[in-house]
Amino acid sequence: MELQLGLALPVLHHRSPVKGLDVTKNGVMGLDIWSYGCCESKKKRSFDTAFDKIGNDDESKRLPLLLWHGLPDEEDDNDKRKKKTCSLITKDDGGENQVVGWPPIKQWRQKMLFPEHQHHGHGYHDLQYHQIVAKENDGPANSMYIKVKMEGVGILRKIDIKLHHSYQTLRDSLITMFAKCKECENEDSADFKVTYQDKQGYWLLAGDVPWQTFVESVQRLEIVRNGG
Amino acid sequence: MLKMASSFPEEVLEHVFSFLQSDGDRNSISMVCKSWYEIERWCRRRIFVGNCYAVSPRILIRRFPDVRSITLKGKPHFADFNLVPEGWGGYVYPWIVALASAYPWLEEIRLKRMVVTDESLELIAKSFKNFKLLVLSSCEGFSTDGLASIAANCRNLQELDLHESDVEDLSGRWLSHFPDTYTSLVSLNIACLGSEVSFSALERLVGRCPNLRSLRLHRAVPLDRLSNLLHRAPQLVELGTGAYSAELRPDVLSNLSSALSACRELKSLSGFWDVVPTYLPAVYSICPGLTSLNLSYAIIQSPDLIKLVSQCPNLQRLWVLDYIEDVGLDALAVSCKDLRELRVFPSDPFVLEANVSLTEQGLISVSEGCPKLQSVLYFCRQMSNEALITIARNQPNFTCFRLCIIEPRTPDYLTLEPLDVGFGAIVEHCKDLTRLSVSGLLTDRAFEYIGTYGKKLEMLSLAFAGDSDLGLHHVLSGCDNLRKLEIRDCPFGDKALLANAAKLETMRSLWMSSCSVSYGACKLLGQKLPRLNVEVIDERGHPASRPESLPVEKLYIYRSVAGPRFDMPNFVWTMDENSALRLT
Repeated sequence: MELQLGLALPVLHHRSPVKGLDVTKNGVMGLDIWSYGCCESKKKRSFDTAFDKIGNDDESKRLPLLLWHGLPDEEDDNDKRKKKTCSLITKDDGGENQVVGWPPIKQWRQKMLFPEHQHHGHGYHDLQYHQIVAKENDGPANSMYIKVKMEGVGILRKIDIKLHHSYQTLRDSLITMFAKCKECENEDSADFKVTYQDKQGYWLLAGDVPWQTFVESVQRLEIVRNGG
Repeated sequence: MLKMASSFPEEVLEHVFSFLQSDGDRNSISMVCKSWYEIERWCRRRIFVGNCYAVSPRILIRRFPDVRSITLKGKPHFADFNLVPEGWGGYVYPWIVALASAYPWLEEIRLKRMVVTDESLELIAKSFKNFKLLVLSSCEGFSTDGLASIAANCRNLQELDLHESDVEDLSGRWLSHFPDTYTSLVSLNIACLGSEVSFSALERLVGRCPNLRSLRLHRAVPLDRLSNLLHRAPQLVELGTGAYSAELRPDVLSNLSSALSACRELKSLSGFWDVVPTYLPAVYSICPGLTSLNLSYAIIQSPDLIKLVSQCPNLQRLWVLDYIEDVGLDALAVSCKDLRELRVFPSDPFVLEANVSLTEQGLISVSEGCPKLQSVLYFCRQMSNEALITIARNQPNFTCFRLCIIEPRTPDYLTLEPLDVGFGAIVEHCKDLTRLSVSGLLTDRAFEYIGTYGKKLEMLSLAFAGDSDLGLHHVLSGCDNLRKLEIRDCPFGDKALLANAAKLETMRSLWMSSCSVSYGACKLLGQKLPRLNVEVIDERGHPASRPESLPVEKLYIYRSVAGPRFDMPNFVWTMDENSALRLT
């Protein structure tokens, strides 16, 4: 469904070794310049032969810009493989190594589901990120989802920290959230303590710093059993 | 035959041409002869521009004097994943200025991945007398003020769709700018907004637009408001809920159930932000009629998901988080025999260990149970060649197959072999495949299969794969219909690119980042292929400040009849014959 932008026509002036254009497939009548591409039928085009044919043409200087010599020679290849362990652009964040833009999840989706990971693509835009966060924190209707793990429970959950204004309400919600789990059916809520990971990656006990400081630094939560 | 055709009066031909809807057909007839070209250009009303830098507004307007509908796309697809630096370009304003003076009767604008300013929206609102449709998909740069001017001025607006756009959300007041006399709304998608809107304004708007068919709300609309809205629009076909949670009140559930069951036309449901499973039974009554269900933002566990999808026998499209697990996909395969599209998104992609039991088995089940399945996007953590071969044999109808194994370069978990043979089976069996994304451990052999069999492939995404130039050479020389190729972190370089330079002129675009293409090769391509715009994106500074043989950070090549663009930021350089001169 694409406007061809007039490119199809001008290309007719060249004997391009490429037979990918739609016109060739639709068999535009009388254009014998395409017959070269078509007669190659379904077999994959060999570069050497393609170049030879083009070589007879007076436009041979144009394309391709480099000859493909069949298989790359072994030495060259090995050399390359050693050199080219592709650079993973990673960013160390609380012990998790993240590759920019991977896994390929739309920024939009990340923003909605994993707000804590939204900035990963912009290592170089940290300043901007902090501005965005600052802006978001101004708004009353914003949420801040944090992952919660409970010791012994397989599935991670998420909780919106912004819905809470004290350790007490947070603790109550966490208990309700995990109350359905079989593992903790018969246990008293006093048996658990809430720990959190701060921006530096350290695990600390929730409740030791003022609530606002906690909200600013919390990255994830884990509920652990006392004496567990 | 041609002689006869040319003896038709122009009006007759124009009438005949008017039945041709597809752009491809219109392009073909315009190449038959000069007179057909002339007639066709005067009566072309719909234009699709897949890359806003591939043509200039001036060239477009010169050829097509009476356009009513235009679609423009801006940034490369990889912008979705944060790979295109901010400020890269894709500005729509110059286009709107040109369109405003050339096409006063323009009715439809669809934009994707473009930077849209409030100024652009104001110009749209004031310039087009009979403006009907505005779709801003994954766009950015505008605020709710711009939306206010659209609402206030476009009296005939039928569709406003802000699909996944990044809107500066100043306030919800913009919605109140639709005048009381305005009744033409057919489709409204504001799911990406954050601020609360005036609920009474929203209710009145919904109530006075009798043709409203699609309403996709945002998170700030609470569940207890939804029944009121639905009572006013029982004709809805498509609904995106707001937040699907409320304080536990028995009347919320019963009100919602009765309001939803009155919407007999409903075919599509989405939204479900912050879902509380207690309220899910409210949708059960409409499940038999549903063809599309987007639960990809709904954090619901497998048992609740199974209950839901089991009641949707006519489902054609399902988007869901991996909380559905293998057991849920088994249930889907049993219940939804009409399924055509499945997307399974990861609920926790940033950790290595699996948080759910979703494996290759789920996809095998669906490929066995759903004979009409043709499009898949599947995020998982393990895969095997055997599974891919089974899937390919079960489902040769795939047109779109996108598999993301979350950890890069993951081998077949059973044999520890590369997944070459598995993806080979996919391209070999699925003859109509037009879109493919590969992942996992892949050698050049996988690309040999893709080049040999992927004859209809139009879009191909590669990441962390291949081992030499040969891989890219197979793809470029083999995939005859390739239009868009995007590659990241693959050891592909100069040799493959230069040997297949001519191929690039037949494609819409090529993206390569963190690959092995040298600055020297980029320069050569730009100089020798004047019809291509070769752009190097490097945030470390000008690539000429480093040795020419070093690889560039990012490379974006696209064909253009407009020449190099003029709005490049300071980290983008275009390679053309003059670029060397300009530098000195």
